[in-house]
Amino acid sequence: MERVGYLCTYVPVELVEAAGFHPMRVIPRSSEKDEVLLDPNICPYLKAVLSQLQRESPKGLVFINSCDGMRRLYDAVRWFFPSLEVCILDVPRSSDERGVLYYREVIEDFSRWLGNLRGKPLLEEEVREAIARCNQRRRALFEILKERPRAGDLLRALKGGFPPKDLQEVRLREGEGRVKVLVTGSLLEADGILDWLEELGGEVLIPDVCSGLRGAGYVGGGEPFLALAKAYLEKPPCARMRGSRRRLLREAVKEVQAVLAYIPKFCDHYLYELATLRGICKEEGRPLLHLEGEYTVGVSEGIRTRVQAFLERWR
Amino acid sequence: MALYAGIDVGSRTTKVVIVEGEKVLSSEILLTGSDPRGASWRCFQRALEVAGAKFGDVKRVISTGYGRKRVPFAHREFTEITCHARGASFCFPGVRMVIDMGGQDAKVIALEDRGGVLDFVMNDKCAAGTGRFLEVMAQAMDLDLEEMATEALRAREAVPISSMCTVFAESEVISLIAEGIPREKIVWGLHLAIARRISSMVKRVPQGEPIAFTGGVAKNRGMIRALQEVLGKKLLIPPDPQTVGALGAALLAQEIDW
Amino acid sequence: MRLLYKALRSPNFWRVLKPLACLYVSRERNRPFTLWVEFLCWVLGEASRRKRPVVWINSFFPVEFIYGLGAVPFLPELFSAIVAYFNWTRGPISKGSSLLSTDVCSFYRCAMGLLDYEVLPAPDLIISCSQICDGTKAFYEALSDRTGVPHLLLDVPYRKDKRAKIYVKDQLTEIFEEARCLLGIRTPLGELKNSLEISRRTESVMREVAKLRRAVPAPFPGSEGMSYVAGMSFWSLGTGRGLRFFEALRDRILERVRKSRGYLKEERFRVLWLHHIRPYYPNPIISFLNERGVAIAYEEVNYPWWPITRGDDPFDELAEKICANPWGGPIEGRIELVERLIEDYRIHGVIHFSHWGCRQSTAGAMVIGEVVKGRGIPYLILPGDGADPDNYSPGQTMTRLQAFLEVLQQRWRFMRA
Repeated sequence: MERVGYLCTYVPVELVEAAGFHPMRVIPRSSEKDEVLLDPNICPYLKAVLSQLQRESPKGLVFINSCDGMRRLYDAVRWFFPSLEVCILDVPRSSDERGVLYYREVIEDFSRWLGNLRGKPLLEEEVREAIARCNQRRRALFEILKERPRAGDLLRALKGGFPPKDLQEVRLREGEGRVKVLVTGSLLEADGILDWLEELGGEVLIPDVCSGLRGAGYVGGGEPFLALAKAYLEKPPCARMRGSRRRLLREAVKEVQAVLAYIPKFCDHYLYELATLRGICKEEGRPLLHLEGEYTVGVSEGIRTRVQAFLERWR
Repeated sequence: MALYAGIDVGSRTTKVVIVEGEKVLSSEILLTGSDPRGASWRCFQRALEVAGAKFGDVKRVISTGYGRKRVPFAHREFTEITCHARGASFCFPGVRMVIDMGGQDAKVIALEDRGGVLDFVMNDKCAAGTGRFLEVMAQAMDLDLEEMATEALRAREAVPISSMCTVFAESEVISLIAEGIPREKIVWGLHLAIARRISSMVKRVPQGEPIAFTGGVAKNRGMIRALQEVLGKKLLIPPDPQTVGALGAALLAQEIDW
Repeated sequence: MRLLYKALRSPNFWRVLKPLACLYVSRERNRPFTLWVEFLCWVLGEASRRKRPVVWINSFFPVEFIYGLGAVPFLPELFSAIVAYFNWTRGPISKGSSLLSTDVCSFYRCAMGLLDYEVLPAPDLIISCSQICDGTKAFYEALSDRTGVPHLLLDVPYRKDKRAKIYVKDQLTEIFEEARCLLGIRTPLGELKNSLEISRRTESVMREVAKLRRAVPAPFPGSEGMSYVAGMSFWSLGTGRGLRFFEALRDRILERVRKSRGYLKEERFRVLWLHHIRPYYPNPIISFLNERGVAIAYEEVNYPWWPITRGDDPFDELAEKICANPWGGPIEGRIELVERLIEDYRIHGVIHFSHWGCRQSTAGAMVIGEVVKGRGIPYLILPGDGADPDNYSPGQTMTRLQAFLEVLQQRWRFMRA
């Protein structure tokens, strides 16, 4: 099966599957980065993606206008990799009714793009079937979430895409952690950090990261494009979105004892949110550790030391 | 025939070249120290002596380099970019790219067919990819630069170095030594890491061949090997890579329309 | 320092400052510049008087909307640029960096710091539109969190087709109502229509100015285009003062063009300056270029991109305008404007000022470079910082500029004088 890559959890993967492609979340396995085509001072994830594209190309690549960096990556890819089939989905920043209706149109256009890519328009039943399959996978995921899975394993399972096809490698925790932690931020490529955190006695209650639990919940019935638009816009929001994020963040902070903000260098959405997060943590009396991500697939000594020092206050 | 001189005042060393027509009469290097003005004067005196000339014999002087504004007897200044381009194309007519690695900066210059500068990219923001980086690493491994080059030439395999920051690469190197990794692997890993960084700069300018490698670091055989391997091309090395900038400046002094 | 800060918030300060400043400035006999100073004193005076509500907006939110609301607009981004001009940004930037991060735009960090110093006229409402960078949503939200003042966001989509315009228009209508509600004012819609009418007329004059500046030699310095001219275009559009400023500017330039007078004694090269800003704190970049006969013939920020709209419905008109912004969406908008400007202004070289933390522009610099170099035009990426003097390296900047000049000389050596 040919692969269509995608770069953000707001892409409705059901449509990609309906078109007969394998949706592949692009999370490069190598830390190599291209420093040339964009700018050295930009999100390291984008640089890693560019480097990956120089090694292998999927059948198609789906972008989202999630941030300035992603916008420019789309431009750079079109300019420097002209033979790659790409499209960009225009996600509204608001999940209100108007936003949902807008996104519905975008999703419909997306299905047309996929139809062109495979040479045959998508059929409604194909879409419904794909939605049903994905909902089933979601069920399996939510079941396992009730049983305290190990966060590192969970993230690795989710790296293949949301909802994950294969949950076999996800082990369960043995008992509660000493410290309940909220991990928040953007892409977390170094799932090793979560392993390390849990090894030291922490329990990652909520991985609020792009490669974590920000996937869409169940897609409902009714007109499929509308159902998809609703499910995808109403899912756990990322910092780019307007609306409930602040409130949800505060609620999440209250549920845990410590907060770890993992933010890639130069990630504007999360860096501005960090100011607010610091305020929330201060008000709720939760210590906060801010780690700067550089898209390194392993866990560096520096990060290990910081995390360890952070957790040492709960001896 | 009139004589022309070029002075390249770098942050580490000052170089002077005196030319007469197509001939290089003398080429001298001196440490800049904390007094660029004094260093440029003394170096110039030395070059005059070797050339068997007097101050009055030199018709025009062009200065270049980081301290180019501190040469009171220079008639004009040009940047190192233009001077290295001119110097390299004198040494290798038809050269289309110059990689210059100095003590504290690195640059890649794309030339057009007549030897003028088409485009350039500089790294002067951090030590990674400069002579300083190599010095720091050599010291961390208890080697001098010659010994380090020998190790680099001998190595068959490299250990990957992930930090590009000089300070953190140093700690990484020290931990690798402590782990017992053979020295030559570490040295080679470092050279490859620098070469990849330069390769990244090379990609930012219009491509062309042949490529010349100039600057103090071009005397380092280990670095030549690493660059050739990463770029996949043979590099042209001038007989005296460190004075190419001053040579270019002297030639420009001779050629421009005063 | 504290006394000065207190003074800045007092309306009497502006009442006294205005005539003094104008008197001082008018000695230069530069009428547009005097009008700029007058406008600044007026708008900041109004903001401190607090007879009308103060609304903070970002530069690309249509300021006519705010005048139409019957409120006073305050633009923290522009104010930071002005503070940079007086070289007072170090303290606020340092403060702002500790609250945010050193990786984000220094104009925003400066504004955050100034907010903390309590220098700025406190907002009654914050409205921003999500064009042209992430900061326009994220920073203003952070401001809202910090001040407790509500933030209304105009979500501008990536695509700019009919559906997008409707999406924008619906939001504009809603934001107008909500703003009136939150601010407790009931200005009639006629105000907005009036403001848009003036804005349309002003844009027409701005187009004339753009056309006049095509003259050789360049009649007006790009460095000023990027400072107070751009400032007026963002802050004063929709007011009579704004219209009068651009008329005065046009008249001034027209006179120079008639006499074939360039702003440089000897113009050797014409460059195009890309990105909307330049370093505003004292620095030698502009004098370096001036002394060597390199004219900044035109600058990206003043590209006349506004559609010539006629509308009954002000929200339709505004939506149309917002969706025509060339810097939102894909890079083609920017490529087009660069190509047009190179043609129209007979450009010899292009400088792309890569402002630290500005990802939407710097990450496009390579693609833009391909376009420019593809036309055989020398291109320089000049990294720097528009507001933070501590992030400015004079040696590196000057070397790059000088080398670029040498490339220009080389490239255009067969050009007749």
